[in-house]
Amino acid sequence: MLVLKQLTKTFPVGGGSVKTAVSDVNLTIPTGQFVTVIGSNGAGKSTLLNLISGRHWPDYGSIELNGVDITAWGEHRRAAYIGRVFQDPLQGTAGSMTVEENLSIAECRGRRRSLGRGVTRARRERYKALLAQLELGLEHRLKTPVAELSGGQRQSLSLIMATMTRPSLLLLDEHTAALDPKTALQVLALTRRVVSEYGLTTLMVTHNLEHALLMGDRTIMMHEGQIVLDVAGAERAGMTVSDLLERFTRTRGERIVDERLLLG
Amino acid sequence: MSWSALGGSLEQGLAYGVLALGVYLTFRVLNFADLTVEGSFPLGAAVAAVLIVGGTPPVVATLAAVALGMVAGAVTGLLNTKMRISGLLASILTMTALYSVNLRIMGRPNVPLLRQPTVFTELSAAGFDHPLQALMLFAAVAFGLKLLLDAFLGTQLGLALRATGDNPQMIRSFGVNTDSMTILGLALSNGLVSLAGALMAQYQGYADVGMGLGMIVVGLASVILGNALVRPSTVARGTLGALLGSVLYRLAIFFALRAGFAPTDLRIVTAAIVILALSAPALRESLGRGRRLPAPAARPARGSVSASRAEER
Repeated sequence: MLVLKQLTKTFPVGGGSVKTAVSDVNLTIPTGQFVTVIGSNGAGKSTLLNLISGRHWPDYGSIELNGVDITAWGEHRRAAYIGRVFQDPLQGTAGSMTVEENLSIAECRGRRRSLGRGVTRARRERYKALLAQLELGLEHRLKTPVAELSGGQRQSLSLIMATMTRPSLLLLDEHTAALDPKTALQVLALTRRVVSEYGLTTLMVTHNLEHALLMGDRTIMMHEGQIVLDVAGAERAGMTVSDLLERFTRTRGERIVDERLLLG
Repeated sequence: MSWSALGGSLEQGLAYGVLALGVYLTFRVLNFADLTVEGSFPLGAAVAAVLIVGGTPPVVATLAAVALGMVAGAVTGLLNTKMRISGLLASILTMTALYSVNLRIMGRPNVPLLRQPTVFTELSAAGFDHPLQALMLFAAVAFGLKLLLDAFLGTQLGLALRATGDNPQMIRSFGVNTDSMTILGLALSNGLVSLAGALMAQYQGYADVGMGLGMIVVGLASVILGNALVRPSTVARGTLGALLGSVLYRLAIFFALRAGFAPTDLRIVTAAIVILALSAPALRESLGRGRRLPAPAARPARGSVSASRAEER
């Protein structure tokens, strides 16, 4: 379970003034829930994820994961419990290293890294079985440097790496935005499969309203650093993209001008 | 004369190969431009020389040099990670400070090791007295350390170190403290460089405070030259390239001297070698372009494949 209390983050914008990226956010995500996060550019979605993962420190507020206050923990310490996939497929893997070396790094998540061999025969067999499920042919390319894979393959591998140790929380930061539509759908299907199979608590940021409703079981919308819409259950099940837009407009009493949001 | 000089070049090539392994670790693996090398190389020489003159067994003196070299590397790492000084500047600061440290250690600019025991006299005393003694010792040390480094970079810790150089953001997201990895990598690298300094001091019979001058270029020249020869697709090939590059560099210097270049010209020769090695992929590509056939069948030709790969990088 993830509990955010009064989470606030501001950034200096020069001239002594500050921009409030995340403002007094309170959010509770029960274990196993899959939440999609939408909102226009600058709404604070990515900052929220960065606060949870520990890349940014909050100005105020607390973050609790499974009953433990992790607000003061460094990024690498939290990473023992939080898996993350980034927007850029290049960010989630080490390109100069092979597929099996990357998987070995991921498998050691949060553990003390020893002088034992990174890729043993037993591990290689396990990776082969794990990759075979993806049906991307990656199980035959264990010794290929990740840089030689396609964007979709690389992002699928990132997803497997982020989830293979079944972290307490999975953060997906627009992880399909850089892929072509067909590949994006494949990666989304894989996301759904892995999340439900492992029962992962998940927070997925997306620009695509359709994906936001298609995936997961709860959707929140952010605007100017705050959560302005939070729908789940039957209410969400009957929603269409235009309903979502309308609800947003009604809540804020203003029109959304961001083109990416409208086009999504 | 020329045969023994050629042998000397091989010996030096292998001894400096240890330095090249260190430079490979920071420059290629950790992606860190580390100039500490210019200080940690004479540091190793100074520590070994002073301890040997003071009566310490040469092997112990050499190991002490490695330990202090690692400390020097760790200092650069701490400056970079904890004090947020850029890598290049942090290493320049350590290098500058080490000049004074080295003079303090030696008490004067030069410590001769004439008629002192060294790792070579120890070997002779142990019954291994052979004209190729130095060559065999340096080859054993250089290739032994190469294999050790290959093995280390394949461990869980080694993989985390490599990922730190490749993609620090990614490896942090898997729970690794990249600051610790940077410090570890710099310590190991400068331990190797310091070892090279300690061996060279015993080989040439003196330690000198100025012997670090230009060492980073020697190391880079070796790594770059080696990588031009052996495509560094794996760690094992990368370290092999560094060793071969170091030997090749010494041979190039040897032939440059024989061709009539004065010792004072060696710096420009070195620069020319590095430029040649760096531009090799581009040159190969432009040569290949002229020869390439219009049919796609020309694609598997060796030159064009490696050139296009180099282009991707």
